[in-house]
Amino acid sequence: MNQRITELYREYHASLLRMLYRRTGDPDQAEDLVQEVFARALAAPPENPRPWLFAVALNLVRDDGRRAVRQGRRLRLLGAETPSASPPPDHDLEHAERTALVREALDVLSPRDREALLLKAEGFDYEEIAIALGLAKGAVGTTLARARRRLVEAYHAREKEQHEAS
Amino acid sequence: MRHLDEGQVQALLDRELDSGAEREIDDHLRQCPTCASRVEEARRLLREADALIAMLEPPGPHTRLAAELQRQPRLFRDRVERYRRLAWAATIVLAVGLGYYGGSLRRGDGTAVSLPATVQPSPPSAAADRSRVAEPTSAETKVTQTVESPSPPGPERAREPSVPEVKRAQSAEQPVAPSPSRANDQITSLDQRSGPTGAERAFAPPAEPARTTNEGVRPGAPSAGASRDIASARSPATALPGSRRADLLKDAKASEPVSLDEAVAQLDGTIRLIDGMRPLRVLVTAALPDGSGNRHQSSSVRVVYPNGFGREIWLDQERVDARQDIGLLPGDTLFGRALGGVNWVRWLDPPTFLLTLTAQLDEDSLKALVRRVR
Repeated sequence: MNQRITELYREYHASLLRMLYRRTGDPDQAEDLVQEVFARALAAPPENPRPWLFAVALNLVRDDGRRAVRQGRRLRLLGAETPSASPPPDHDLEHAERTALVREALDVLSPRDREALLLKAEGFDYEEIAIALGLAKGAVGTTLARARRRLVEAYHAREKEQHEAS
Repeated sequence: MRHLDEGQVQALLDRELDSGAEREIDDHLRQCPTCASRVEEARRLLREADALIAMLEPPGPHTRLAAELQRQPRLFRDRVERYRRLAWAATIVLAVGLGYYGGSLRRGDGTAVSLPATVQPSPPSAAADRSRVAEPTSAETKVTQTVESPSPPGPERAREPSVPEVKRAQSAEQPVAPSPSRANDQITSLDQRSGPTGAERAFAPPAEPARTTNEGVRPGAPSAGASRDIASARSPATALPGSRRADLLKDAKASEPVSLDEAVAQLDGTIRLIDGMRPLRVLVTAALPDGSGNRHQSSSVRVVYPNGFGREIWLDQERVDARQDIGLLPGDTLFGRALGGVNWVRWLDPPTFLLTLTAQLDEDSLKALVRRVR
């Protein structure tokens, strides 16, 4: 069984970490959550590992977010893009600003739209997205269409606001 | 056929339709400019959304640091080659010297022959050459540093003898501080968010903790014989210019056990510990200059934890000048590998705490420990 988990870890660790980082914006939190996901997989090996691993990961993010709200602490959503030491070079600064805008735009989406988008970005097909999010397969296309449109619109709206403010 | 709905358009673009359905939609699109336009618009949104999400990549290695890391294997090969050449040179010089000395004895002229300081250690045999390349001994260190010093500026600064090396030689007879093996140290990976400059300190791996065997001998530490060799050999610091040498030797005090309170005082009032672990002991070493000759603001503290079977975990920490380029920025984590399964991870705890965790643990375990450092 450990061998199987090892294989799963090798196969999905990077993808899970990327998806969780995109979802949380915090690399440390993402790494912690990945460890937790595999700990749970070790305790209860999944039948269909990929949707299972990602569904557990997204559930953990939601739980973590709720706990954070309860504890009254702020999630460091933008911390990773804004290192506190010396000011970054112009290129890095611009990149950090743009990624911050993307993250803000992503936060505008409903949790389901956001998660469908992130799973699609990890190469999930409609069936896997449906399993991971508990959707009907026929609803995945509509969900993705809405998510993409809202993401792009929200990003451009924020970009415009920022441009006007400066 | 009716107009396409949003789900069908997305399924088409995401290649989720079977070939029959796709053909049917293609036929419709050829006849329906409205739907064709909607598909094009959806395609544009899809591309833009994908590009936006792709911007949220987890922090990757800074290009400059990554370049340094890629350079490491070459540096390592260069170093090995240099050791090999030096070993051969030492062998030849000693052979000539011994021949001359032997000739003098045969002539009976009683001429005293003094060998050059650079070749005082025994020259390596071919077999010994290989082993020495893998793990340089004190004698080898001496030969290298005597020949190389004074070290050139720039990237070659990494080979300049530093106080930790002096400390290594001096502490060779102490049970606590085993000898590090720097020649085989390689940085294998890193996980960091932004880039440092001047990576010398970042790349200088910490000493390799040694495992205590049943006989109480630490494999990583020199044997008693080796200790004598080290004691009789020239210290690396003697290869430095006079003023610098005196300065280094003065500072290179052996690590001394202290209480936690004393260590806290040495670190200007704060110390980092591994949450949930009880330290075995705490050691303090005098203020260390770095390779560039700058002096850190305070002493270096090592908190030693048990790691089972006589092994140890070292948490080294020191205060550094926030204005000084130490090769790391807050958020950077540098991971390295030494001999014998010993790994280390170094990071900067803002604003001025430089921490290094060294243990015979795999990378993931080490990272887990790092998260427990408070």
